[in-house]
Amino acid sequence: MPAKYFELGNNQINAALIDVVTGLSRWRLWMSLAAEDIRLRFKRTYIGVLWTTLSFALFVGVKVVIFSPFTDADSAYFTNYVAIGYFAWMFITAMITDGCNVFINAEGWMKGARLPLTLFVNVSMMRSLVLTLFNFIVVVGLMAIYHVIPTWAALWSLVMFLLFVINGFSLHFILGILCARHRDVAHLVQAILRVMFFLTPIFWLPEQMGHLWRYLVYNPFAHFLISFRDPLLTGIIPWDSFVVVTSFTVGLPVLAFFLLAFARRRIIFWL
Amino acid sequence: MASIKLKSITLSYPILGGAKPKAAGRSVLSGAGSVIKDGANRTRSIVALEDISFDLRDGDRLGLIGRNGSGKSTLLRVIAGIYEPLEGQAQIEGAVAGLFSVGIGVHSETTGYRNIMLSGLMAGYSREQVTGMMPEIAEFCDLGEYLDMPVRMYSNGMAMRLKFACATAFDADIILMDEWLGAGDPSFQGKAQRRLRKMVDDAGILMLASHNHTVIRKSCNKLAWLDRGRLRAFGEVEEVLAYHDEATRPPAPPAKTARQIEKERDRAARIEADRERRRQEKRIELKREKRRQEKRKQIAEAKKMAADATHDADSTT
Repeated sequence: MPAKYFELGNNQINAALIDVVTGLSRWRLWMSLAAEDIRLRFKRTYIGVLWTTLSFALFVGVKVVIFSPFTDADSAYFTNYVAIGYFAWMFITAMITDGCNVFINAEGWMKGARLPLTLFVNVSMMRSLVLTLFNFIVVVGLMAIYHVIPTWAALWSLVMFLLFVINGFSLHFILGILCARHRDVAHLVQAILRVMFFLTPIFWLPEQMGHLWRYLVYNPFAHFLISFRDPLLTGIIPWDSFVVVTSFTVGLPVLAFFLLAFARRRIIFWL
Repeated sequence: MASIKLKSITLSYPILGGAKPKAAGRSVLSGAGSVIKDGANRTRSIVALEDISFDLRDGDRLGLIGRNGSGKSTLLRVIAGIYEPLEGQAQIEGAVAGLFSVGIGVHSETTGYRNIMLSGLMAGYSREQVTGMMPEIAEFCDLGEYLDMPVRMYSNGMAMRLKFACATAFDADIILMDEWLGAGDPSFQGKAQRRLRKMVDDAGILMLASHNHTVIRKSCNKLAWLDRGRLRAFGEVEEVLAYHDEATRPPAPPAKTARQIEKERDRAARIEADRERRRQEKRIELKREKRRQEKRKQIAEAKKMAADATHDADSTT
């Protein structure tokens, strides 16, 4: 029988730390729950999770067809540009939109048993990571078709992806808590994301936008996207974007942790 | 091994998206529910538990009584660690099983077997341990091949069997129950009761919230009475029950004065007279009706005779 011991009403910083540690350590449970989630999403389909790959490929294809006449870049470059950029964008938006609902959707579980909040974040993260892996099939496929040979700099993209995961993990806490308390936040975030999709260089090249290029430095989404795409696509590491992403990777976890310490025992009353 | 220590636990639910208060203060309701506290800066909360302190040790079986909204379920959820009070301290030692949510956490799209696995992992067991327990649980539910199908395909009763099996499959040191559980058809009921009884007997501590005093007497050796979130009484079952029954008995009607008695007698007499009058009227009405009927009959006969007479006269001419 699993031995348990807990105290209520003690140091909240400590309790938040315990939440994260126990949440991570129960990986058997969150892996199973994530698998169940994915199974549920594609239940009774013939190709299952490959639908993710298919819809991603379709979207990239249409974007390339429509937008390549507007650009003077060659089609091999532009196709991979869109594919890698949209891949990164999909992961970023998944982190944000899933983050908004992570605790709201877990209400049933949270009211049934004492479980660490981190557990639900892990379920959501795991699910997104698996689905994103299926999107990556398209990226790899297109790079192979167009003979885009990644250089050693591509490893940098891998590092950036790790930073994406850390930021996404933190965003789940931040947005999950804010959205549980103030339900307007989820709608606001949705609205912002819809706008940012067009303001982020996914299917257009910054160089062709003239003066708009200058304002791009204020768009954190652009920095995240560029810092992942450019090393993989061109082999060039964009250091200024890297600095921005790193700052987020330091700031967001700290913010997330203190928010968790504050909201951990309150959140159940907000659901 | 198991122990529960509560020290001045106070817990209030913020009311979000409800009616805004007019002025700060506390309103005491006369019906069910707890005290609603209106704080400063237009916040509103329900004080579900107020200053609760008690200790429980191995062997304690605590019953919880109190009317709807008195905080019984909230208290159980505090001990399960689901609600954490912002004031007061709690120390809970031992694995806790809350049986107040049979059904929460059952995926309807997932097969019976996988649901059992998830329940086990949720309770803190390893995958191997749950796999080892699986045959016994499957045999208990007696759902056969259905365990390989999604729960969506089950009838309500079958789903209840699975939920009951999941909830009671995993032993715990502390068992929390919101009303004594029951599930299924008569053949399953008996089995379910034996299993629950065994689980309760094996546990270190039981806490049972119930309105059924018979169940409380049968299962508990201590009793707590919650009244609007406060601990009104805590102690031996019979003592607390006696106190509770005494305190909640509806007040006896006050003694009647001579004048009141006289008034009542007059009223009764008036009613009786009224009734007699109505009976008399009915009798008269019946008599009249009878007479009317006889008259109608006579008229009809006379008419018939007259008609026959004319008929006869016609045929002779």
